[in-house]
Amino acid sequence: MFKGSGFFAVAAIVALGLSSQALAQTQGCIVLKSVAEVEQVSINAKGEKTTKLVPAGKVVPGVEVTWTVTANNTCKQPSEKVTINNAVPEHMTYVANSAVGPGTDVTYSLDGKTFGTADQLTVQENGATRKARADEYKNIRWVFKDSLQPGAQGFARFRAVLN
Amino acid sequence: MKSFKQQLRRARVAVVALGLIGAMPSAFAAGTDFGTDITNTASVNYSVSGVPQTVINSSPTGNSTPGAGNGAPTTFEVDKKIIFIAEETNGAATVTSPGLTQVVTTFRVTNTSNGAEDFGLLADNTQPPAIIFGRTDAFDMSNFTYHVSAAACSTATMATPTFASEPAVTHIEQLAEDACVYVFVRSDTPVSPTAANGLASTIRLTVTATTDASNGATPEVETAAADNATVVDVVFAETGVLNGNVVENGVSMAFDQYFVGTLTVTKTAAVISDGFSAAGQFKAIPGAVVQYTITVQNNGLVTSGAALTEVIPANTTYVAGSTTLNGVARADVAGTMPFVSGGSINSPAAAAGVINPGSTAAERAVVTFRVTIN
Repeated sequence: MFKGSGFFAVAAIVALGLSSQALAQTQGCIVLKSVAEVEQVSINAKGEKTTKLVPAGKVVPGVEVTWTVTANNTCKQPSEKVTINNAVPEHMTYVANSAVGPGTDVTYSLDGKTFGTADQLTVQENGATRKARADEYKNIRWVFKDSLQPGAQGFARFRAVLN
Repeated sequence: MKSFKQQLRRARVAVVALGLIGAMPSAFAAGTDFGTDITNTASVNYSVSGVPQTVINSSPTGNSTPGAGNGAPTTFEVDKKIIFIAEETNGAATVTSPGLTQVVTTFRVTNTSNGAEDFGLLADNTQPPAIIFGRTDAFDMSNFTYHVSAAACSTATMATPTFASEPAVTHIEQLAEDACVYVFVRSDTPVSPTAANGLASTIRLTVTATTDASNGATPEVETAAADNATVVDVVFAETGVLNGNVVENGVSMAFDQYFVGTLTVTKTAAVISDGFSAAGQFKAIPGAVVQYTITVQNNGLVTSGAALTEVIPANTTYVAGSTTLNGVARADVAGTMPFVSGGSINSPAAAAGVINPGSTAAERAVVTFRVTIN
């Protein structure tokens, strides 16, 4: 009957709409990658010392590891207010002033909740207030000042020493 | 225009009262244990068209699936940093005597690697680059055995425990990080004259970091440059004593010494009267009285059963009752000088036969007797 087929057509359209909505939520707009590397020093053919970053392999206490986070925008729209958060890994100590990220404001936290610049973070010790030391930072945050354009990559890096 | 108070409030961002944060992260002196996985996950927050999006976690290859449960940590394993040292304990040789077996020298082995480690033990007669304890090496020891002391070992204070019959071992099994053990090396002294009074033998103990479960047989090998994030690699970082040691090769050497001390005997004679001359002018003429002084000194280990045998020199007659030991009269035996048939001697105030080591009057056994020249 005519009535019957119309109802069937509407139900099919509704079903299609639901599934396409579900697809849109399985992937975000940023591909986030974190790599751990160490500096490898080598002597080139001219006898000059060169360093390059290689994947972290032989890491023993005292070795400095470079952590690099990259964020690629894979959507058609800009990603706004991009903020990368990274806790200082357990068993590692943050290397002062090593956090970098082009176009970012870097802040730190001692407890994972409150963030501030190196000058703002303080500590209460023996009844007095002092500036927090870099080895006391527990978290690092990079806030990108501008939106991340489609196809563009944001970059954040810091170094930490294995305890 | 923000009030001063408001500005102040903004500046005082984080004043955190910290108890233990000022202290170093809790870890052994050697650092994070090998085999520990170090993990790190970054996260990104962002908005699209003003709408905050679900957080995205990082992964080693790149993750774009949102949600706190997605992404994967970037990890690597902490490798073995092998640091240890073998040391001689008391800066002195062990006194021995010719033919004495299983004589003990003592070493301390300290492990400051970032994890427990096995160590192989090997002693031999290889010499250090320079002599130790001021004595040159004159003979070899033999039959080396190794024993780990049951005595407590402190890395802060060096001591020399006494051997307590601990069983022989081939290696040190799983010495914990930041811990030490004392190792006794026992060996046999050659007989006289190879080992003679005043001679020394320097020995070497080589301690090698070895793989677990190889019972000291397989040395650790420093991993080649190629990285491996999923396997515990090995790095040698030991320094050791500058006595021929090669640094950072997984081996530490220490040296000790055996010193042979025996009894030494000196004998002097003095004419003490001749019936004619003034004091100090006595001549060895018939009728003159000669006093013999025999001094026995122990340069080595305390003795038991020390005995002296002396002959009355030809062409002389023993002066009856003239024998003394350490200044005390010693009765004649069978009508003659008591030491003709052998008699025990000792340090003053020591039991018969016991001569204590030492070169002063308190230790030396001194026998005197007189004869007249026929």
